[in-house]
Amino acid sequence: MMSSSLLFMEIVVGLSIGGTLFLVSSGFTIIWGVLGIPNFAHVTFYALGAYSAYSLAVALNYNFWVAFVISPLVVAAAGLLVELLLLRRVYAREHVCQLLLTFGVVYAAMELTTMAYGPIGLTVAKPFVLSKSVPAFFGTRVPIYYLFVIGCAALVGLGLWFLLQKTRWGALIRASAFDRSMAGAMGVNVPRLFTLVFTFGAWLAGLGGVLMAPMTALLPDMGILVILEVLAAMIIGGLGSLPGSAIGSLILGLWIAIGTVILPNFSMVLTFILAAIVLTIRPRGILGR
Amino acid sequence: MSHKVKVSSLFSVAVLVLFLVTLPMVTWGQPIKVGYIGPLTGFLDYLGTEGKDTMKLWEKLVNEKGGILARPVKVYVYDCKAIPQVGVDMLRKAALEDKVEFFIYGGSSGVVLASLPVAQELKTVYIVSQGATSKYFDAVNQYTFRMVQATPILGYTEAWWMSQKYPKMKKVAYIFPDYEFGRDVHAHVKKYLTKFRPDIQNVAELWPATTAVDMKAYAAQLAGMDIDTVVGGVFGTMAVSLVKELRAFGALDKIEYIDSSVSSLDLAKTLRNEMVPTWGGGVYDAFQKGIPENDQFVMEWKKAYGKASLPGGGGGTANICAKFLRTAIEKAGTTDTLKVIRALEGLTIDTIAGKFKMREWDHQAIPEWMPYGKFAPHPDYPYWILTQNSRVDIASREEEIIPAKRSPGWRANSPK
Repeated sequence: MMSSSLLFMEIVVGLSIGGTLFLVSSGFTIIWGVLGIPNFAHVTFYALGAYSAYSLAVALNYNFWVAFVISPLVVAAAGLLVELLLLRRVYAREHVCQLLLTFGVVYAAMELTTMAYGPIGLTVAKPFVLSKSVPAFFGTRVPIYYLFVIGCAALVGLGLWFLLQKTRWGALIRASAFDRSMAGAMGVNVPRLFTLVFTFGAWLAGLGGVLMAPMTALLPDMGILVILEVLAAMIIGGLGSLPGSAIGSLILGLWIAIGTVILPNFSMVLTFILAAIVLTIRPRGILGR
Repeated sequence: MSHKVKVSSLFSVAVLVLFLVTLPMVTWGQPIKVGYIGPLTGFLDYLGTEGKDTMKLWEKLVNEKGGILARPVKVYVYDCKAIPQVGVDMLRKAALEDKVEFFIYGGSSGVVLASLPVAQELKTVYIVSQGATSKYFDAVNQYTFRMVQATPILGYTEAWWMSQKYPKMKKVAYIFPDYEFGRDVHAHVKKYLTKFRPDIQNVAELWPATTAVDMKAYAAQLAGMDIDTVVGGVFGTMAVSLVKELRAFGALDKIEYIDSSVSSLDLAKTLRNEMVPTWGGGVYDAFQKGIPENDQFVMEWKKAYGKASLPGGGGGTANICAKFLRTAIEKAGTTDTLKVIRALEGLTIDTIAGKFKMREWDHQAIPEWMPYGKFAPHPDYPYWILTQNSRVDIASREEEIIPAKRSPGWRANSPK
């Protein structure tokens, strides 16, 4: 039986895992919803975010906060290039071509990362003010950094809701997601909108990578390692639904954290078990249409 | 016979003689092909990369000194990704397509177990530099040798220095990777720790999968336990994430974290200033004093890979394997496989980690001692290194730790 204190700590852990997953899956969802492409290269932007944080905070000796601001912008710039040079050419092609191209980007980026940084794990230290823990319920202590990650994810979620629901850009994005040819006929510059959405999605993944960097070892294949969890979060929440990706990420994060304790022998397959359960009960996901 | 014909005949004979005389020289000059198979990618990439770097350095140094038996050495490198099937495929490819004659393997126990019968089928010498599972003793055959220490030796060594250096340890949680090596070495650490310190209470055992890269859930679990010590056998990304997150929970203020991983230096290299002041050990320690061969190896390594660089477990063990191979070929006076095997059996050599003896009956090398030390910062390195370098005597306890066991029996004189 799990104690209250352990349950509480695993909930905090689950929320922080879910928060990082949401930052990556939300960008994937927006790109899927508006551009209609399965952009597997998205996890490359997550890894790039982590590695650029390393370059700024460790190799170039700036502090974490500089990396926190600059790295997602660097990733957004990389996203812009990928969209302009590669993705744009396959919008009209079938999904298989898009899938092959984006997977190709993942593997090419992995090799380039190995060449630039080597295959050995690298680390980024947590900023000093966030490196401690604070007393919490049931006599536990909660790492401040986890609260910071959860806070960042919540802020991004609110920001996305505001952007999509309350601004003109949001209206254009929703209109294009609903019917891109109609939006084009109404005077929306669809190619430019696609570029902006893709770049913004890359920024979100970069932010996820920067936030994850101080909690793990950076490896060239770290993008590949997260891809299944990101896809599972989207499937659980409902493909193409932003609130769905938030709910899916949080449920999956909590499931992984608590499941690791309750079902330790199944830790490798926890993600797939949950995805299978949700797909069996509700094939479109929780908020899928 | 005209003068012209005579000259032509003489010239032809001279060319023929010259060809026949130089033919053996050309053969002698053919390189000895040595394959290094290791995980250059995957969760053990740090071991394979170091092994590869060591083998390339060895190739260069050996060739600078005239090669082996006046033949140059050529090292071929293959990535097994720590996946048994890939390791087997690489072994077949190297032996059949690239005509590699001798192999050194440095990586996972799973790949070792899958490769041993294939080495026998290919009739090629296969020396294991990493892959410590005790199941090796059931699978070893005439063609396979192992230099890296078996899990009973690793478990014994780690338990011994833990019992000496952590007198306050009472309530212990173990966290080891859930695969062949992790389960095996844990069983031996626990067995000997219980023997040396029967007062220690085993509170919990956690088994993260080797695919785990985010150890937050395990760190939270350990932080909430009523324990004073975590014995960590995880390595690579798992160990890095675990240490970072234990610290984030403030757990390291009240819990001692002992890194019993066999390649501790790799953890220190990655964690840098986030490293914990644990005692640690393994097969090879670059800072062991009084071994001129080791001083030379470290110096050559720094010259090749940078002043702040040091070889860890993956590099050290590959170097020892390469020395075993070279010595055996020179002792045999030929690269004939069976003669090299006979030369390896019972061979005792001085290495960068002291004296090693290759047991004749199970092809397992036994060291005179095993190194350990305490991690601490050092002004010359950007990461913590092992200090207070010490040794655990193994040679005098060989029979107790790994009793002589008759192995599959390719030699009539194997002990019963």
